[in-house]
Amino acid sequence: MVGKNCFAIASDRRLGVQLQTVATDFQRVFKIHGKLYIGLSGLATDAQTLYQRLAFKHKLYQLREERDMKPETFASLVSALLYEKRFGPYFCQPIIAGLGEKDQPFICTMDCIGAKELAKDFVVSGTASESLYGACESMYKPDMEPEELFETISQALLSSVDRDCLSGWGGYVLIVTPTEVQERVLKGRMD
Amino acid sequence: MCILISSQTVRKIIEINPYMLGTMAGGAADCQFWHRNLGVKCRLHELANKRRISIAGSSKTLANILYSYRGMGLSIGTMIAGFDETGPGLYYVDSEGARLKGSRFSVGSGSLYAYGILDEGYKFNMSVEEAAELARRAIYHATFRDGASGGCVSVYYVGPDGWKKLSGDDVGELHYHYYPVQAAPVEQEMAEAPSAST
Repeated sequence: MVGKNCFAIASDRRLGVQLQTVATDFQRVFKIHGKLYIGLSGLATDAQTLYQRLAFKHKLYQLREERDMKPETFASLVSALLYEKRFGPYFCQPIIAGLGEKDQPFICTMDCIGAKELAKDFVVSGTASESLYGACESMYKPDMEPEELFETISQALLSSVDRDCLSGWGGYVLIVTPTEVQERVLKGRMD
Repeated sequence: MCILISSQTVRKIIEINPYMLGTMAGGAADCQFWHRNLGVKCRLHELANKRRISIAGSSKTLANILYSYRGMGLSIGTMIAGFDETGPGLYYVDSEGARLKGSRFSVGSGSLYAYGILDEGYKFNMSVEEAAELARRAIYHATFRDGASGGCVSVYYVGPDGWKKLSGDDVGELHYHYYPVQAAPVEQEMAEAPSAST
């Protein structure tokens, strides 16, 4: 979700095999660099592998260009990487969130074969995405300050995952402003 | 597989009559309808025979009805619990036509997780409070591990004077009651220069 010169990215913490819950501390939001984060929903193994490949490509970019990648460029990189596997895809839906030039927030989401979808307000993915769209649409206001953004995104996340039996078991929110990054773990329903 | 949670407050223990309870697992409509139908049959038995029906008899009635609908897509997994002249009775009845008498059962998609807790803590001579706590914990653990279980835990006691509801707890709060949040020491990291970090 985008706020005033900041963004927040959140995920739930469940790792499950169909109906069985295997872990309640699974990391789904990964840092690419200080102002760029990627959230990967879908198949857990593909999320981890995709993150490792992207981190590798970004490190090489940093060595060559001697700077961090812009979010727009990174989104194109992810899109190209996913389309390379067009006929045997990674089963992941990424969410990319970052602060671009002049610390303008940038968010986008993609399907599992790399169709980019830019948005100015919020993007969602995962099994609870329909609930999330509803919750975000009703709770979102433009230009929220970081504290209010944290409240809004947490409430949207927790209320949406409570309607989906494959999501939940806690929450994890990252709020990124030009000067700092705050990580918070949410207490949610554990059923 | 996206299963929507319609409600977190469904009453899954159905009160068939003041001394008999049925649990609900499988299809909600099937369970509600056939339990109510069983209540009707039990009342008709009382009127025809001037005495209450036994738990064995009522569970057999339900099992025979479900057997006649076998293969037609009913989905019911239920326990009929009650107290009659021969003492307490617990029967497992399902839509495949099975009917089993036993001292403890667990039914549903989360039943295996609940069996783990139930089998470990069960003793024949438990007190009512111990038994209620064991049942509550068993259901809580099933709701934690199984995605299709959750919401609230109801515990009923069935004794010579009929059933009595002991508790109804929300599982979300029960988790933090059993596993309170441990305050983790806050670690402040020194921010590194952004050039070389990952």
